[in-house]
Amino acid sequence: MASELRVDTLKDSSGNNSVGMTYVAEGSAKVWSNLNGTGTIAARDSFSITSYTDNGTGDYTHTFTNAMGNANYCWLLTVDFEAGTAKNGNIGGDSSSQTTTAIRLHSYGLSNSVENDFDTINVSLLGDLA
Amino acid sequence: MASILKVDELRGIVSAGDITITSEGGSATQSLQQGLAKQWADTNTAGTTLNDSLNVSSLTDNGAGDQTITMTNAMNNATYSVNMSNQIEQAAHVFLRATATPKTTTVFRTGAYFSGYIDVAMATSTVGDLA
Repeated sequence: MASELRVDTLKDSSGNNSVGMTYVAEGSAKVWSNLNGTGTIAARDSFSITSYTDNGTGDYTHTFTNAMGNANYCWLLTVDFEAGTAKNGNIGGDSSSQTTTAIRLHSYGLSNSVENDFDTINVSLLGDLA
Repeated sequence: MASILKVDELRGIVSAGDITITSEGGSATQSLQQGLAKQWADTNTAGTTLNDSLNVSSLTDNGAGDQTITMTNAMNNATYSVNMSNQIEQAAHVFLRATATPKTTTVFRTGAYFSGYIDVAMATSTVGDLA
């Protein structure tokens, strides 16, 4: 049987390094992902991602396993740099299509200012789960 | 009355590396370990020193806009997720140099570019599985 511990604050045995459970819960990433965004897109590794959608070049939707409590969560996005391919890039989230269960991302090559696929699309989300 | 637990190490019972926490809204449970950042770092503008960090053993300045972070405790694989931000008010963008220099379980390399490689104060964080 699973055991459950209800506590407000965690400290080390010396009474130092105190952290409230609010910070443990709210400070933990609720979603993270390392996606290969080229060709047939595929996750290298992920947490709480149920599916990916390839909407076209440089256009990806990540769908979460557990819904967020609202659509005001914080996203952190990073792409890699592909030397010699004019894909010195940037990535942004599409806030107009941000929902509690999905986020749509667009990755751009700055050298050619158009959407490009990238080998590595890294995502992590912070916020409240439903 | 608020409760306080004093302990040096938390372990799951069924699986030592898996402790579940209840969501803020109360409708889901999720792994505590999976959601924790396993590394973070804040560097100076020159990219030569760490202002503050977690689980970082060294910062290497490879040249302008080119830094290597080496972690103290290794990740379980090289498929972890790294995110980063440029901390200065400049249009420089920052990125992983994962294609040219593949990540390892302990090392990843970052870049910053604005009409050429440029030094910036860099913030990085890593999520994924520790070894």
